[in-house]
Amino acid sequence: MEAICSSLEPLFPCREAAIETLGELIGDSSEAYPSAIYLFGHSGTGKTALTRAFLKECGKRQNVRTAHLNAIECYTTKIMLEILLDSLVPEQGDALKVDNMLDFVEQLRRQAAPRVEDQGFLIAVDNAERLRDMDANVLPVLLRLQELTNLNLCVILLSQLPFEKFYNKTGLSEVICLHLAQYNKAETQRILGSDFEQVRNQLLEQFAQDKKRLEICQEAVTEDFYNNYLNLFLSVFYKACRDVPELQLTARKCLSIYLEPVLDGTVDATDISRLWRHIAGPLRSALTQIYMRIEKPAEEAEDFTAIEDQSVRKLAQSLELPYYAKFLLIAAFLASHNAANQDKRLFVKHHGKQRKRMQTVNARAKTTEKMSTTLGPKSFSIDRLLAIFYAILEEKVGLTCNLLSQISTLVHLKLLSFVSGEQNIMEGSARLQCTIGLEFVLQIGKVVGFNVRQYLCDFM
Amino acid sequence: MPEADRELVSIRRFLKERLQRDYTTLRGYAEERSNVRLLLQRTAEMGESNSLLLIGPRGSGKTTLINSVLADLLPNKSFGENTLIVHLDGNLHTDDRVALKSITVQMQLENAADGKVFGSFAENLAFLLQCLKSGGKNSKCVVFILEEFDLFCAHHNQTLLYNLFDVSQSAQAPICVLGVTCRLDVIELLEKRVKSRFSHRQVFLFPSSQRFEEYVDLCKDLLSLPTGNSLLLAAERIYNLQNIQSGALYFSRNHFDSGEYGFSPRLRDAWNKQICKVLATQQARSILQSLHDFDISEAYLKNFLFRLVAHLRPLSPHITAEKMAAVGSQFEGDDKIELLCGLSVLELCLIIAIKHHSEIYDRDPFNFEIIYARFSKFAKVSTTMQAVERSIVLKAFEHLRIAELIMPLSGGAGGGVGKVQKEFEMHKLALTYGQIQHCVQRYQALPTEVAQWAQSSLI
Repeated sequence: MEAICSSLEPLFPCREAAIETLGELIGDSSEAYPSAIYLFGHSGTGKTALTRAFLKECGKRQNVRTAHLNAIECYTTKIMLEILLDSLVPEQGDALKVDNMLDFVEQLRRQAAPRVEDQGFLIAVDNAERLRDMDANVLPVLLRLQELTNLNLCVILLSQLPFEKFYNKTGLSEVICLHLAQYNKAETQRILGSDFEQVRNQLLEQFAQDKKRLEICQEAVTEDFYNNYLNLFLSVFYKACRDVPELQLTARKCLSIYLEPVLDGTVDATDISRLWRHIAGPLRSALTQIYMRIEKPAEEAEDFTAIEDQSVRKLAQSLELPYYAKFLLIAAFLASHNAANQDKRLFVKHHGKQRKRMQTVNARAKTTEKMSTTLGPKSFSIDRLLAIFYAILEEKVGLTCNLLSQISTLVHLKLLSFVSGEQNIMEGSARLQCTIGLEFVLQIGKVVGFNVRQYLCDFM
Repeated sequence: MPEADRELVSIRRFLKERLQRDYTTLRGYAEERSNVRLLLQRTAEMGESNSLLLIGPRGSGKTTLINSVLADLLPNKSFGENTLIVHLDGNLHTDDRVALKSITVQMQLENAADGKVFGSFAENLAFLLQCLKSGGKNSKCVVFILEEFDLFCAHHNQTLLYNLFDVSQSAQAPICVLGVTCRLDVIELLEKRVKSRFSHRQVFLFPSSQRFEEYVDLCKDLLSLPTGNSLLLAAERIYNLQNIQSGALYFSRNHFDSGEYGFSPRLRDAWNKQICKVLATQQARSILQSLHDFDISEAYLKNFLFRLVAHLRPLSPHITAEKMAAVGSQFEGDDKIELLCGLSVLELCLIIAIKHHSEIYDRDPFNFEIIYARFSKFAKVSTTMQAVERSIVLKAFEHLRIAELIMPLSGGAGGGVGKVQKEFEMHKLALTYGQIQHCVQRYQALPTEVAQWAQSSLI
């Protein structure tokens, strides 16, 4: 047990306590295992990596058979049971066949029975929350597998949820819950900093051709320099993202930009405040890119401003639609976000006088929560779409098939989507809705010189 | 390894094994136990058929009760040789066909039943019982143990239950049906024709909540080392278990065997004295009291003690009140608060925005747009949350959903809501305001303005 723990601790910094607890519980196959352990924590806290390494060490040092599987892969119970049995009792080879849970338990009893004493079995299941969607008997049986098979067996469930989310109507047997806490800021910095040697070697390799840069790089890239960089990096990113693998990925990407002025010789490697001024902008724009993993070819990656400008504004301006299609899109947006009974008032010149009653005034008193732009688009018929289209378009156009085909173009571009009646467009019973946001349509309106806000009930 | 260490390892092994694998020792419930025992005895000796339901919450010792009664009766010759035990589990035997096959196997009648074609389920079962009868002068009796009895009620037409109860009512081969369940309303699940054949003998097991002293004694009992004599007695009892004539009742094989262990009187006395001393302290008692308040079942206590015992190592060879406090605190903590504290500041801000929305609109559901509007109002005046792009906020919102801190209204992923864009899909909050409040207080290095915003929705 001690040997397992001490071999894992260098691999997983800041997880000493968790490793020790696991070691105490399942570190020794000659002692009784608990029947089930539930390991939970946010993504990127090392649940899977830690368990995998632990199981591997156990299998190597002791007489333990291990199985590690991901519940996402098991879309039927049968697949899961066969994977489990295959890794726990590998002798069977191709003849392996498990029909149901009973079969699985019995085969496990039978196959594993005549083996030596002190044989341990460890099963780890990733994404255990998926077990809830599988057959109702999977989770209870897994939790009681030790009692049912009478082997020294432990099931480790890994998930992001607290265990209370698993309770069903009749309850479950007891498990040991372990929480892997999210790393705090200091720990995150320590973990990110632990790959310094690797990063440095990578950089040196990268500049192997360029002698001058190589020298600067060798001199400048020290542990301190790297830690300073990480400190600056975390000051921007930590508030939005605490997922260590994600941070690691982005930190490596941004390092080359940070290093750039040093390599050019314009800024000294110890002048942190000037380096900060240099990096602050790119870091902020990289923040908008986090989780997206937009991979750019090498030459473009330098130019971070290019990536930055993928905002809604650019997208709307770069969308090359025909003139009428843009108006159709605006009309669709208006149809989606205005009530049909308001159309007359909005689009007809002589719509008559509005009677004001206290009731209607109160009903119109809008709060942001009740605005249709926040509640989502409503559906509309094609007739209404065309009517609004003709009302907002100043010139007269004929209702040709060219015009109608643009509706289907918009559907293909996923700017509109069918809610119902996809099959019977010709009858006019099909209903559509507009999928774009307010900001996007405002930009489109700007391009064609049309004030969309003026025609939205929300903003009156 | 020095002597002291070896002793400690053996103590740890012993305690762990006894906590985890002692399937036959029942404490308390003397009356219920004698009730079941009498019933089984009568079935075996007089050939009376009967049926009984054992009902009690999870971890209250229903299965242990049956096991312990069996362990008591097995040395008894008239019982041991005359009885077959058929063990069925609702989780494993998911339909009657599987169950019947398993019954055949467990009664060791595969050969007899092989090649026969049965018209109905009842015919098949009758044949199996007939086989038993034909053998000797008087037939063997069969004890059916149905674990998770409520799940058998969901089987098609309740054929298995109907036939079992029917046999137990009529004067056929003597059988005893023991149902084990944790559903109190299980009788309501039975069909009328099944219900009328059931003997309506129910035994309820409820751990009593009043007796804290007993709880402490139980704890002491589970932690202390027994004398050599009692070890031998227990070992003999375990040895008898091997006589069980059943293919499915496997608890005997890996049952904790006290015969393997022996402790010197010096070691035992020292250990037991230490345990007594620790359990007498105020700190230990208050921890046990709070455990007792959470859950009075023995299984819960065993879970706690298992973790406590696992902590024993050569460097800290004794159970102390401090260790109990350390393990106990893990049982008391709220997992959701732990998870909340692991969120990023941005995600916590969203949670706070959701909390304000829920407070103002009386827990109305919300979508991303509503929360984003509220959040961006705050972000505008705050220094930390400025310049956070909408897409990042959306990602944070999705993370909350994955962690099931907020739940979509129309259950499950894409439950007929594929048409709604994710920004507009309605969610509800799966947290209490207290949990959020708690997290805001505990969160490390939370910006002051966020903490203030959490207190009041005014910006």
